[in-house]
Amino acid sequence: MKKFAYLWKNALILALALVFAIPASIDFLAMHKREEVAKNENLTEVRMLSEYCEGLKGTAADTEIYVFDSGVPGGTFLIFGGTHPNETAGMLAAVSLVENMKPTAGRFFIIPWLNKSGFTHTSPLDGMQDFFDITLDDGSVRTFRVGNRLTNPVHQWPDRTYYEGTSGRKLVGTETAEIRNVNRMYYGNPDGVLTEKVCWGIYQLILKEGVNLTMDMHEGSPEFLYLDCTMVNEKADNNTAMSIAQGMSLDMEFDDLTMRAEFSGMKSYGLSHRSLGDNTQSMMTLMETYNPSMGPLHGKMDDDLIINGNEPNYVEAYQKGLNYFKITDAGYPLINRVARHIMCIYYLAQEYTDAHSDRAMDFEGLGSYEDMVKKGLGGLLKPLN
Amino acid sequence: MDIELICLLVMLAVFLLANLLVKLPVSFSMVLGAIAGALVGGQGIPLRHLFEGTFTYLDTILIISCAMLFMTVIQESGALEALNAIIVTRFYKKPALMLILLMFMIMFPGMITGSSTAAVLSAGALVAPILLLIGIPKEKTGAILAIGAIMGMAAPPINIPALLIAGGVDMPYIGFEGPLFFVTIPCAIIAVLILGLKHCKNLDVEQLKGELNLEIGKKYGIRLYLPIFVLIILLVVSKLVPSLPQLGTALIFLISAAVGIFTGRRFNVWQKALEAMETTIPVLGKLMGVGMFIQVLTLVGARGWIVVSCLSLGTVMLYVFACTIMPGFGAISSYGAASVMGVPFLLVLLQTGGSNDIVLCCMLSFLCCLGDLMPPTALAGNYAAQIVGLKYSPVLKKCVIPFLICLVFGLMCMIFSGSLSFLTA
Amino acid sequence: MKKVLAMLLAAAMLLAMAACGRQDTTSPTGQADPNAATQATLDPNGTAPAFDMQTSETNRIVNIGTVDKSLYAAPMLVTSFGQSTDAATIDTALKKVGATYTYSPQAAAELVPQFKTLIICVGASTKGLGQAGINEKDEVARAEAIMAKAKETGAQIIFVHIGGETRRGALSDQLADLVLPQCSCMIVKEDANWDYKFTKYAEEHKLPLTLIFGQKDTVQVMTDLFGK
Repeated sequence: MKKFAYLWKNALILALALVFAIPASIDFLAMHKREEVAKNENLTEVRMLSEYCEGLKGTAADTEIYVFDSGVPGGTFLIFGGTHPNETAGMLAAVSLVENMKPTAGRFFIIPWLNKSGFTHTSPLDGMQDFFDITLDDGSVRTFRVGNRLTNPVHQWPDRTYYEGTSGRKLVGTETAEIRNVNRMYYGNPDGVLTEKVCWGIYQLILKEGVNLTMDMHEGSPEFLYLDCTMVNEKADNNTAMSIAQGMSLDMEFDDLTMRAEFSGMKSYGLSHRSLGDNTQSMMTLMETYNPSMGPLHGKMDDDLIINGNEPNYVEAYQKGLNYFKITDAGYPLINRVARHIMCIYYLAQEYTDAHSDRAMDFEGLGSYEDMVKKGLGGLLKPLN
Repeated sequence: MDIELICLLVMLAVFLLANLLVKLPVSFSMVLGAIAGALVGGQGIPLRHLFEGTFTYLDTILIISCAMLFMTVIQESGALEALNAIIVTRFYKKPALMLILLMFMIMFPGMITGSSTAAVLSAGALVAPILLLIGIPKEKTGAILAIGAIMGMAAPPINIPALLIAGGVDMPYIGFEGPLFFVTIPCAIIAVLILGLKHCKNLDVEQLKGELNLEIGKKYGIRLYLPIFVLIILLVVSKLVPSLPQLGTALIFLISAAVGIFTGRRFNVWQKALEAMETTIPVLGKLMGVGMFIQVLTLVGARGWIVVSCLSLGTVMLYVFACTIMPGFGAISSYGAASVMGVPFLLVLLQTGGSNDIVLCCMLSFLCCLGDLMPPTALAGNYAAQIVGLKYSPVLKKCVIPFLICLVFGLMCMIFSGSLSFLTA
Repeated sequence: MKKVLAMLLAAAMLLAMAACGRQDTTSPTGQADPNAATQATLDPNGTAPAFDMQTSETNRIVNIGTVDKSLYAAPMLVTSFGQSTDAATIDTALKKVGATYTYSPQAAAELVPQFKTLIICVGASTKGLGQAGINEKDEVARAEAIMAKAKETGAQIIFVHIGGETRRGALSDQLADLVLPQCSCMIVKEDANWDYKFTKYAEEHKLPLTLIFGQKDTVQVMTDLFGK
């Protein structure tokens, strides 16, 4: 009888645990459903990354590539966001391009959710949002996910305590979790872990499609040193890449936007700009903007922080001299970051075309920085129906 | 008053009320605190976050569980008793050395599990009779156990507060052994000598021998120690040759425990394993509760508020607060102290210049560990007192002087962390 | 008794935590001088004092003395001393102007006799040197060789320092000091002049100096010099 009571007690505790676990798991599973993209008549076709890496087929990491072919011969520009899903502006900039762009020269390959598995979870202890909502001008609401910078351990586990991919980067100590970081595993491996297959897909895409210019869109926490900054691998086209990037930087400055160009670090093994720049013909660039929701000082986590990007804690930290990056009361709203990403891409294409007239790439449809900021995310993103 | 501060106060108040007045376990009290904080912070009851927080320390939980099984095995198989016998019979002529070795015995389980409770309950339980036997009074024996367990908790290879702080600032847990040994070993030696040396100047070896289990070592010989060797070899090999296929710390403990089942006295493995898990579960629950608590602190912005508030302090005040709040927070949980206070303190102290991040992190974790002596929870003190059959206040009184010595030593190391950077190589 | 003591301790801790609250919630905007803050925080060594800037957001280019444009005849070489990205900026600016020139950030001294004008962009970047696979010693040696060769051939030299305050480290200054004695005009982004190094030098040596506020002003300066 006593044993019976003991069982009842355990069953009760288990039931109580389920009361918490079931709704929570419904919440978590909701993150596995991907966002829709509004129709754009200029879109040529949608491919999957698995077309460039067989091993991705049917996995949670296979992701859409939106292809825009102007029909005018020229260069090929590969643009991706969502390498790190919590760096929201990159993903939204890519979605905005997909929904608005009209290519006028060359081809554009755009991937909004590069690490698709990473979009399906958040990281413990950080109190991250899972979703955020944007109300469009027509009153409809679009919901987007904020994920984790790493591949979901449900899709790739366990992290090995030692790993050396194709990049030359040795993952030991606490860097072992980086085995799930797309931007540490380039140029990837078709037979490696899931994350490496994503990298391999990008690598093969660049080679097979003869991509000339690549942009990997990122954001950084306010403590990061390279914000409003574009990393460039100098090697492409006989070391002329930096001049193209500096051209973009000057063009941005004429629009009163800061976007300095920086050399890619020689020891940034496994990062897109280093590993793909060294192993392909493409000019590799990687851009960073400020994202206050990523920093350890952030206050209350909600849609407001993600969309309006105003964090008084960081204003205070800046005033106390603890941040290099200038942070003001005005915040750094998501739309400004998205528009900055798009302008950087636009000017890179312009400068690249100036330097290589046989590989022209150009697009329209999004307007100037002021136009985009004025429209806001609600105007820039299109209604789904 | 800032809403973040209100959240923080509500969370602490609900936690303390639940724990002290309603007498709920620490882990449940933390859950209640977390829920209250989320409600006040305007997040409703964020099930997803509460759930996610409990997964923060999954790795640590696995390691502690496996290490606890290992401790039980070497305790039951007789390996620890045999080790005690060897120490006493070999070293009774040099009591200072013997006390130091016994102190290391107490520290050992804490070193590998990172838990002072584990240290007191396992090795502490075995060493206590010897200490009483050689004439050390009960309250001082309790104090030695408590301090030893805390030094073990802070000593490498596993120091959970250090892991938590390092994890919070994206710092690899590498190079921590040097500074942690540097601060724990001297403190442990000084503490045990202050407390015990004057009581064991003249020892009667024959009487001692009667109380020790001299047989078990002879009966099983060297194979009794096999699980300890296996553990040390596997841990060392995995450190030295990282490119070998890796077992992981948890599995290494399990393998060593499995070896121990066959190398000494027979015991009911199932029964003992169940008992071991039962002693550990409150600690594991506490880790899950801390994860949940801090996830909510982060969610409502209280964590950011604490950090930014700390930025307002001058350097001197920073050190004063580090020395008082970090151990003081231990009244709730030393792990919580590391996660909530450790990370911001480290970030701010790093701004003072000329400091070494790893040494600072080690010293902050050391201060957190001292919190396990802080009433009302006083984990280490409580269990130590229980073992020597006293209430915890007389034991804690004897801890005061060693505690202050540790605090001052830790503080000095923190202030001069720059000159100690050679330890991290 | 124990319970009371425990509650007292807990209360003391709460008070302590509350006391560590921010004391200056009064006015986040009160500390208004963002520029001063910028000066203090962006200076990696904490040494830069606030100084009187002649350029500003509205008055972006300040010319001290007059540049004799006729000195700078073609052919023209743009090179870098220190391999920062600044030479690439000048390359871009000149391209926008439509000037004719050769761009070679790592040009060897042997090339110098082919040119009548050298635009030397000074600014040391560890990353840039790493990217180029050059160590600091070799870069200084190359700079010295170029300056020696230029002395022989009598090439005109334009000193360009547009990396700002971050390009005022020891190596950058060493390279700048190599170029200054032989240059016939100076172009400097003014935040690098925080210790008045460049204005003082220009004054002492009667050199024309152009101060600019931002990197984009290089386009205007290059237009003034080489525009058609």
